Amino acid sequence: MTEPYLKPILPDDQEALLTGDAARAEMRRRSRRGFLTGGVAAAAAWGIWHTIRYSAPVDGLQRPLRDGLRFDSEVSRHVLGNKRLAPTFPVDKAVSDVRLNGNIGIDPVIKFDTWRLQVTGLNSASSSPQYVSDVNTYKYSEDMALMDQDPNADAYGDTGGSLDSQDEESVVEPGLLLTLDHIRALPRVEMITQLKCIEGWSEIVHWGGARFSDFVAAYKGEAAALPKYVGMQTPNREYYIGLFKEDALHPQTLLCYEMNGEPLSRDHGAPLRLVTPIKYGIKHLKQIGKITFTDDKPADYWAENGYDWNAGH
Amino acid sequence: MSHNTDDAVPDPSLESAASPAEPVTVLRRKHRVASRWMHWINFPLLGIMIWSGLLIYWADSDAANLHPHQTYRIGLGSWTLFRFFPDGFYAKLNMPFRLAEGMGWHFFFMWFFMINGVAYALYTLISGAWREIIPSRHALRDAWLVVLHDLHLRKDCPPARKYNGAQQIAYTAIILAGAGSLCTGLAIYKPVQLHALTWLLGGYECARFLHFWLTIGFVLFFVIHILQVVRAGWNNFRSMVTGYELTEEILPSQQKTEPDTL
Repeated sequence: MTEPYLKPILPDDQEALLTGDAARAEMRRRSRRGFLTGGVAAAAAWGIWHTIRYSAPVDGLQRPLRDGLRFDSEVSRHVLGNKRLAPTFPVDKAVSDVRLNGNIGIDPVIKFDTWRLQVTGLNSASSSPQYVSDVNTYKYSEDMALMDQDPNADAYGDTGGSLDSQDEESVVEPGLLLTLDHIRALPRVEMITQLKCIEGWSEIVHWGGARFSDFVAAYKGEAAALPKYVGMQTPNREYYIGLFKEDALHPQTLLCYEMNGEPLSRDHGAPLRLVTPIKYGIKHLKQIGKITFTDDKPADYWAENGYDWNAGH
Repeated sequence: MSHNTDDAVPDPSLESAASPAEPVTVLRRKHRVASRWMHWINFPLLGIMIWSGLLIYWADSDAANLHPHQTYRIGLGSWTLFRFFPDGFYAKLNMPFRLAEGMGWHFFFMWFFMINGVAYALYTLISGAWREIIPSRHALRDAWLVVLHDLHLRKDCPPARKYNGAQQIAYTAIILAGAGSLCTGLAIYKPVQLHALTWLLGGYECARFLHFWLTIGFVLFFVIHILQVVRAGWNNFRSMVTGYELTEEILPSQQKTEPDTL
């Protein structure tokens, strides 16, 4: 005898076989039950989809999905941590012409010799010679003649920063006003890492600058505890990012002033930009104006537009 | 469909005395309740993962001219035959400028896709159902005969079992593809903290390449799967919902009673 078409797969199949009309009747009963259950399950699935799809957005993303990103970020921070280093590459793997993919917040005509790095939120800073009672009173200057010389001036379009908005900040914030030489005085490191854009593309880039952790060590002062977050913004405050303190202090997070051994170009964020290969490119703020150490989660340009605040690898 | 035709051929010497036994309709259990639930739960989950994945791929395709030979394409070196996907494709599906939303969905439902997939794999291993799915020794030859039969190039089909060789190969491959999607996805998602995995998969770009082609594989599987389900008919489809199938069989009891009717 050949094997039955279907072998019994569970013990209760050993029950007496139903045949003929009894089998057909039982099949009808089971079909009714199965398709009803299936219908209810399908309706529930549709309900879940519909609820999420039409939830009110939080910072440009439906609330359940936003909560999901926060949950993912917490899982990642607590399970994976941030201790590992991003892979580094030999210098000949670095691209010579690094892709330009965003200029939001870059002021096309800011005079670099009037550029200062504003640093607030370091309690211990008052003993430093660079300490001022309100960093917000500092005014950057623009050289409108640069507009004609800059071959990329058109590229800035209407996102091109104007420093007018620097008047809007009325809060008094004591802190440091540093020049690029202060940053250059810190140990210089070179790093060849992969820049990963959240859009999908990636490029290996040869960076040069100072470790953020060295910068903090130099200006934090003795025994002062750092707040939970680090926020950064451009001089015109049009682009801004936030980092967890641990990620800012990661040994590969740089205050970068060189690319391929040359000073940064304006388009790539001169005079000083952030580089952190443990984050997507959206966190690599160009043309840093102010760094804020704070316990309040800093606003983040792309996180306000639907993206993950953490954006970490 | 009688699968016991050999047994059904009566002894010629008895032919004049007895009529051959007629097959009877039998109710047989086919699919376990857990397999059915996990199968159907996977359907919308995979759908959401593919759809949200396309929202993410759009952002890469949008400025494709800036990285024309990177990752999602058919080509070699700096020669590209086809770039995934053309603008019109995304436009038709209302996909442009939804990268953030796509990531939101993708990184929300990845948990459920993973949990369902891992639960299915564990259940299949523990229940012993893997024995039905894992390709048997003759699966390749079997699968070839099934393909020839389905393309109407061959009349007879290999003997029916719960899953034929082609099904065994397809179902095993799709489970491995699910595991591959999970691993390549993690390698892309956390390429620094999970760098060992990313490295094993050939690096960041390679992991993205594999993740993409596994998804294409899911879509191809889906199309063929649907065609085969339509071909196999209602009784088969119903068994994936109810767990039971009606078969036409000649039961051992019928054969035993035949000589008595003389």
